[in-house]
Amino acid sequence: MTASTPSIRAPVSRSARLIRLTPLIDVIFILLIFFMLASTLEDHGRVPLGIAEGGASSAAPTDRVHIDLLPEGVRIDGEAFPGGNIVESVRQRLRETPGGLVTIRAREGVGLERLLRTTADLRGAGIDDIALIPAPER
Amino acid sequence: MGLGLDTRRKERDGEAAVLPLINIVFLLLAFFIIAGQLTRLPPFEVNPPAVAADPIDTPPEVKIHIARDGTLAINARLTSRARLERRLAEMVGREATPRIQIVADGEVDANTVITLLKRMSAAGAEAAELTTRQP
Repeated sequence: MTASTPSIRAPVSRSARLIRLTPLIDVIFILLIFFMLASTLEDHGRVPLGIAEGGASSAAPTDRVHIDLLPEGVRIDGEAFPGGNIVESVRQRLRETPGGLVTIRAREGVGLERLLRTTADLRGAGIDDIALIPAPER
Repeated sequence: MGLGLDTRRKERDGEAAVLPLINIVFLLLAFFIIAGQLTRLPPFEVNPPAVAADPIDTPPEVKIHIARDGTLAINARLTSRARLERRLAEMVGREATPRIQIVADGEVDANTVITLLKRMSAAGAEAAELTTRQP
């Protein structure tokens, strides 16, 4: 019995001296809280957008389909669009237009979300040639 | 002697009991390190528009934040339009044009962003990207 006691005790005390779990947990908790607070888990997407060259002129060139976003509606090539999905109408016009470029102008009062939703709708329908027209500078 | 062994064993059993906790905390830690990104936040609130788009694969070198009222920040530091344009012109003049990402609030006037894009392309920057929040 007396001979076997040290052999039980030795590994316990050695392992206990080698690593203490409580400080380790403290440090890990602090790291965890740091990463939880400092990092963002939001899922972001990217939308590449181009500017139409020389697009500030009011006369729409004939080789483009021009979308005018108004606060209360949409105009395509100058015609008021009754509402609903503009994609079908744009696609139809693109078939008749040789250039195949879609230009979008946002009037005052139109939010970015609406502009991006419009471009996302068009891209989703396979219309990729989209350029933005800046408003005339005041 | 026997008492000392007993308390030590108890202590060891107590530590063994928290091992599953440590395992889970380790897993959480690894998750937050891998899944989260340590980005500097702008000095104002920005809610990007909720529109589905391609995911961002490589982080941009330059981030421009636009608040709802049009306030600008470059790399999470407040700036004015004139200063922003000066900095962009400096950057574009270098050999490797940096990748520029615009994080604009969904309710900001679309023309504010379009005008900025136009100024950037006039300064020589290649196509910039707008950031959306995946719905």
